[in-house]
Amino acid sequence: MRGLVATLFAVSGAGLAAVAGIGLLRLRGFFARIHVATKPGVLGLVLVAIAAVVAHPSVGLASRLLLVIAFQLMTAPVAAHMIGRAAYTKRIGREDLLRNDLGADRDELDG
Amino acid sequence: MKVILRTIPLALIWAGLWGDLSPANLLTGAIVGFVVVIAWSRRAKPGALEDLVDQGLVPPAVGDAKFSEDESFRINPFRAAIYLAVFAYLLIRSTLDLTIQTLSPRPKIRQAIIECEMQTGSALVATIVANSVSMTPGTLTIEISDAPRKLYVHTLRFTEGSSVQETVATLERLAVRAIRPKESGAKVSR
Repeated sequence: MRGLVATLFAVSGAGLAAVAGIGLLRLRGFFARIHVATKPGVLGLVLVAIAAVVAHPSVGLASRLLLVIAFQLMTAPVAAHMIGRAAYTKRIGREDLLRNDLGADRDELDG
Repeated sequence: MKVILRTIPLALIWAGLWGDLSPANLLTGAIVGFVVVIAWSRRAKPGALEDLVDQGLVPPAVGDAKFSEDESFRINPFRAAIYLAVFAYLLIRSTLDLTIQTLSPRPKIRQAIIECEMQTGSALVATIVANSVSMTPGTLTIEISDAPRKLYVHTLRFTEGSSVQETVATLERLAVRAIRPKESGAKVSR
């Protein structure tokens, strides 16, 4: 039973990592790719970590994986934000936008 | 007192990395953490951030926001748990949404950058909300402006209407309740 639950978590986690890869190929445009490459993988990592703890329950493993998840959740958005911001200031991907509130009045960003 | 409060999480992280919350590990972690806290507790020189902006190392918007200033707050554990639960729900829902779009024969991707005005001036609340938005698949914080504080959010699922603004407003309200920033600019109704 425990093995089944762990397998379910591990497979769905790996599936999300696969989605990130497929999205990178299938979606068009810089920002769409950044989204799909940086996000689904994090939830995938959380699911794989849960699978590991379910399969081999121990305080030592759980505490380490908890730290892995915590740091991943803290750092992944910062990386995505900085890449997106850098691209915007270099005018990459702006033609894909249907609406742009940041617009030209923030062109002092460009540099 | 502050030194002790900052040492405790470092000691826990240290013991957690060893995978064993034994007293010996906690003590070692506390000693290492104490040294780290003391070594890095020097206050930044006044004007240090402005110098970094002048040198072009920090964008002007960050310099304006004065993120370096200490901000006092009190965490309400129950409200913080509610915030985490709502965040987890958003994370799972939008991951499923983006997965379906990625695997569908014709992905419906409508991109836009939406301006979301925030009600509080608290830099800490802005950081938490901006990070949560960036963490959620389909939305990404591109820029923050100060006075009035606004988030500029890039979304893959743009719809006429204001779903992104609503999400930001909800997260902000929950974040203010969770950490209760003690700051004059906090004027969000409870």
